[in-house]
Amino acid sequence: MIAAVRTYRVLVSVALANMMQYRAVMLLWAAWGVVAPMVSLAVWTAAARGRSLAGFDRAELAGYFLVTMVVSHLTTAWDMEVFSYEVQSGRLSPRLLRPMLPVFQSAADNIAYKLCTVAVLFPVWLLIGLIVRPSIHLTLERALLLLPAVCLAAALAFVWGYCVALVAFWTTNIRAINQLYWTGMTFLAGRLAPLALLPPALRTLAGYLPFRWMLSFPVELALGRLPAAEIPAGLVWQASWLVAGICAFRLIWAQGIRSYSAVGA
Amino acid sequence: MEPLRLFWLFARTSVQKDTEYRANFFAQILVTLLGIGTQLAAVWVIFRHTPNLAGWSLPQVLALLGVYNFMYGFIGASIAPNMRQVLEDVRQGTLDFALLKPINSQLLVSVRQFEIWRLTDILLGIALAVYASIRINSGAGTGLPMREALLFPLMLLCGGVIVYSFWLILATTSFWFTRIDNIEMIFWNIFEAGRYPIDVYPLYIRRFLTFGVPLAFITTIPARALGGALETSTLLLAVLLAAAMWVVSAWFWRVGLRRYGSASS
Repeated sequence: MIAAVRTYRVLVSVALANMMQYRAVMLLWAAWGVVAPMVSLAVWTAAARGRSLAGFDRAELAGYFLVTMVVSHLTTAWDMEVFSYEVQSGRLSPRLLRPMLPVFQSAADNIAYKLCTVAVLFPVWLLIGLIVRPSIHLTLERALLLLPAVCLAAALAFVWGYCVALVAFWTTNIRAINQLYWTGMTFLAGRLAPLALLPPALRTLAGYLPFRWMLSFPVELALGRLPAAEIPAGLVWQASWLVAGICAFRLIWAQGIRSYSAVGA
Repeated sequence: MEPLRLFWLFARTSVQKDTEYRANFFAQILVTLLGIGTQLAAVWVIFRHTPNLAGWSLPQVLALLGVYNFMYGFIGASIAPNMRQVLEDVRQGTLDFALLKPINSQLLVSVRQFEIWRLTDILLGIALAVYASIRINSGAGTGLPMREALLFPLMLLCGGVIVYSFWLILATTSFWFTRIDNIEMIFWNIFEAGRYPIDVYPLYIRRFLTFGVPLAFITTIPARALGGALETSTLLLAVLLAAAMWVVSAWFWRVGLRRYGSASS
């Protein structure tokens, strides 16, 4: 166990050193996470025309999209964008030779990316907060609950994103599947709008899929939009989806690795 | 005629290459449909809460989405692959091959690549814009008025020229900086904001998107021409800006070429 933790610390610090080489690129990626929520905020502010939409007035919309910006950065995962390249080019092969699954390396990269971008993005978030004047009332109790909620959301997004990425073992054309996944993230995770503003049918759908638990749930929690009783239930939902995701990963990986032909898949 | 002949020649060879991978066509169709479907659904969700978005009616916003997808396809099919090639060539010194040809180098580097499957974005974008214009004018009980029928293609052309010149200027900076692989991320980050009418943004961002980065002329203004709400002053500004950017980018390209260090750099 201790050896595992030590190995992981080394993995993360190596990944961190690797990332520092590509600081500028990373910041450009991170900028994406700032632009999209700001566009949504502008659109919804225009749509609200000074009214309150489903309990969101101007300042609360600003609060929603600012918190979404932060949480979505903390929970982002991008393996479905890069994994197919590793399979197609055969670059996965050397990673398979290591005495550990490539997924652990990816997770280390993910953590390292967040560690080094958060440092830069934090002042950006503060600045945007000053400009859009959000209303966020975070109590200590909710802040404490937010910690496991965000960690679980990040783990969920990573594991399910990785499951989607694994489809690359069978087909080299995974762009359509990625697009479908992002469509789900856009609507059902609350990127486009707070789930409360969605039509009832989509809201019901969101209840049956893991997307909501990857982003919307911690955001709702932070903004105090959840009744106290729903919070522990939500954490249990997150944990259940995480377990389901890990099981799905093990199954898909075991099947997929057999159809991997190293180069020229 | 020379530019058209060359474009046709290169497009034909690219198509011959691309049609070997026909599965990509179906994947691309699927991606395009999913992408446009997501955008339409987003607009639908927004218009459930408001009859107009910053003064834009639903059909006008649909016209904008049509223009957005048209431009997205145009950039993806022609501009982006060509400019990526320029960046690569400048870095590796292989731009020599283009410079040695007995034709205008700017023309040649702008037509070498063409990704035929991205035509799906262009065609569906046009279809959406046409549908929206029918919706807009059916309210008035007339067909498409002459003025709009003439102004829309003109504004689309201006938008196309502006976006091409903008990319050429970005690509030309590589003569000084050599390594700027990710410069296009900056563009895509900003382009994201063009999905909605720029009137939804606060004044200072609107100014920036009009005069700083001419995004307004790429999506919002052609859409406004189709919706029949284009002022003559904006029209003149668009034509002038397109002409100016065309001239400046061509001049900048020639200046940049003098800095080109060839393969030994």
